[in-house]
Amino acid sequence: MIYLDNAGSTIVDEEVLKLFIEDNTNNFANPSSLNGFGMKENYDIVNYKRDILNILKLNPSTYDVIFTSGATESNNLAILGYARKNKNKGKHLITSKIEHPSVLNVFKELEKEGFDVTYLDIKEDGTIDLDYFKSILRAETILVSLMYVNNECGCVLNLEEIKDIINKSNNKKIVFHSDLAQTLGKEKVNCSLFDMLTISSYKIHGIKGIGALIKKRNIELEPLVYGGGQEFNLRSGTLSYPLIHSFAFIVKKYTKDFEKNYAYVQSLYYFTFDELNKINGIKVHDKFKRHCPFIINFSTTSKESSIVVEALSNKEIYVSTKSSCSSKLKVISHVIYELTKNENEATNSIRISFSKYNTIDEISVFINSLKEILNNIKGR
Amino acid sequence: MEFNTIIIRFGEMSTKGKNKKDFINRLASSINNHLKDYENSYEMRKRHDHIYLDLKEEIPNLVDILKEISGMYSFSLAKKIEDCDLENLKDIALEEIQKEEGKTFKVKTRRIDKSYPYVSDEINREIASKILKNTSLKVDVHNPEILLSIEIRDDGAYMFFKTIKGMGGYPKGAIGRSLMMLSGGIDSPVASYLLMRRGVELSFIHFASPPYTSVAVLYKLEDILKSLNVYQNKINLYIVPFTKIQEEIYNHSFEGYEVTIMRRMMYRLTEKLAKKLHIFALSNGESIGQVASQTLESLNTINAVTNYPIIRPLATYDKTEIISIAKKINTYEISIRPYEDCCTIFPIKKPKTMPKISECLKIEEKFDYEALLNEAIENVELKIIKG
Repeated sequence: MIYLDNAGSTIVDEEVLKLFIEDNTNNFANPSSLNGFGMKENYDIVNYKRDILNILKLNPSTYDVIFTSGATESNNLAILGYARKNKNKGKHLITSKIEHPSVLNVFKELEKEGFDVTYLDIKEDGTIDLDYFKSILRAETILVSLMYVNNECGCVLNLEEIKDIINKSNNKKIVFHSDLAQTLGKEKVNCSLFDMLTISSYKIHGIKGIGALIKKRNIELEPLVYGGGQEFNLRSGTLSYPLIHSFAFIVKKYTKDFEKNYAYVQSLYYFTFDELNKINGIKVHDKFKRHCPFIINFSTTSKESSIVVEALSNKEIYVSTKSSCSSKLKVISHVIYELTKNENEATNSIRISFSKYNTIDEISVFINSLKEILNNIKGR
Repeated sequence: MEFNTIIIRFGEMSTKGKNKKDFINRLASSINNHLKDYENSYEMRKRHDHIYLDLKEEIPNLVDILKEISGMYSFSLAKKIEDCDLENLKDIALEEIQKEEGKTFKVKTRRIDKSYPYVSDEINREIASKILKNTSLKVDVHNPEILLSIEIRDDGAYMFFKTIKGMGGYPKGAIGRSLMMLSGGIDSPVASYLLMRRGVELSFIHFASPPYTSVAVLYKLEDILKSLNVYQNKINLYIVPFTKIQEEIYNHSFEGYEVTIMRRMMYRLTEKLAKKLHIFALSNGESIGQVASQTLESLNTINAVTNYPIIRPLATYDKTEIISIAKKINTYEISIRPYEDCCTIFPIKKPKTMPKISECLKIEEKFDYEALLNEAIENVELKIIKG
């Protein structure tokens, strides 16, 4: 098997798995329980939160960590929770057209609730037009939510400059949220640009089912779930010590090796990039000002991507596409469409995403298989 | 009423003369099969006109299980009374009718055991008058709210209030076997159900064209067939590798003829496999006029490749009828999953609605399809789906 869908999910780190199993045997108490067992776990969890904040270079006296089930829930809590709680301050919200569905669809819900949402265009070079951004800020704007690394094409948005504009505007109540699900451990980012940020465990070899929303302490949110009042009354539900511990552990481990992993994956990226560009019938999406090396997206211009992906899959080479082999559902990549304005390219885009475990040999096999498939399959 | 016996009636198959014994045996074994988890909970008695199930203990969801067995016209949940003395019957009838809901009633007796000392009318009158005297119920012979049926037989009297309509048709396998073309869409599972209900035992053939069709189609087919396991508890699915044939069609076909030629090849393959399996009829989910390949002209051109009978249970059904049956048999939700057996290999812009056989022959002359078909049949893969 050659696994090139690491932006979709990653293999769990062996140490993490070992820890998780041990914790389920040794630390199975309810951290909210008022007995010694539970209280010890609760004490540990407070420390894990501090560890995570320290790794992200965020001040533990300014920021809180709220553990959630993952990035989707974190994005929901941040956006829905903030907009609903603060609607008296204004009803204008800003996001971009290339966000993950767990952001875009939340804004669509808020539109139904009477909010006015601006969806920013993204230029072909993967950046936001700053003059335009400046022009749409209003007194009623309360929230800007933008991703850093895009999950489909790997472009890195110019959020440093966006932050600058927000800072310089007269509106001091704008809260800046960022979905960093594909950024954590994969691209260097200054986390303190953001008032709220979303992170996730299983994109960096952690376990599925845990993520976090990190937010400045003074920001008020409306909870999505009610119950026992865990996580500052913002996310009720028994805390999973084993999941939390595993998450803190992988964040620490993965970010410690960041430079090394990054350089290694970059070498894979350049190799792949070069090879893909030699193949006829392929257009690599690479016009970005900044590009995270963990993700490459290309379109098949003469063959249907769904068939190419199916053929790769039959050779146990796993990559990702938006459209499936179905005449009824023509799904296009909203991200590639936004960046290229080309429907054919958006329909036939393929994403490959790396991890530190991939090798040049694997990429070579992938490239050769891809060439062979493009030659052999019939049809458009 | 607490029932202890199920009376099962045959309906249609009771007209079938000398095959009747075989039908009854098939129905009996089909019932035993559906109730195999409860084999110690009942005893079966087969008679020329009914099958009786004498219950020794309660069988959960019994009514629902029986409703899904083909070859059963109706069944009644009855109380068997061994002591047929009229006074005893009157007492029990009075006791039982008071547990039913309704204000009007009718007693309907059939005296099958002619040695019983009273005729049907006398029994009706005797029992009705006892009920009239002791309750506030009134008689209504035309539209009674409560119908008390009594059958007097040599082994006792059977009393029941409710008769439930069965699935009808013939018992499983009574009519023979057919090879069903299964795509994964909405229609073919419904056509399969209609055939199974008529007592036809089905094997299935599917044409797989990886990578043009997804492996997910196969997961979908297994799910569909699992839903059909209710009616046939062991199903053979034959998967034919179809990619090479598709590609050759793509290479040689005139524009608009791709689907016609493809269907002709599928029919040929189905016939070849049927021959091998000693199956004498083909079947599919085609419904006239639904798509270009299902106009009467198309069907004529496609059908011309085989002499086998092709059963199309859905020929005259419209889509809404098909969908409502698909929902009833729980295949609809599976069929509408995105992976379908579509042939994205063809840039089908304008499929011919009136394809000509002569044109098809011209295209088919251009490549040695016979060899490809034989190769495909040799590489067929069998999956057995069990309930």
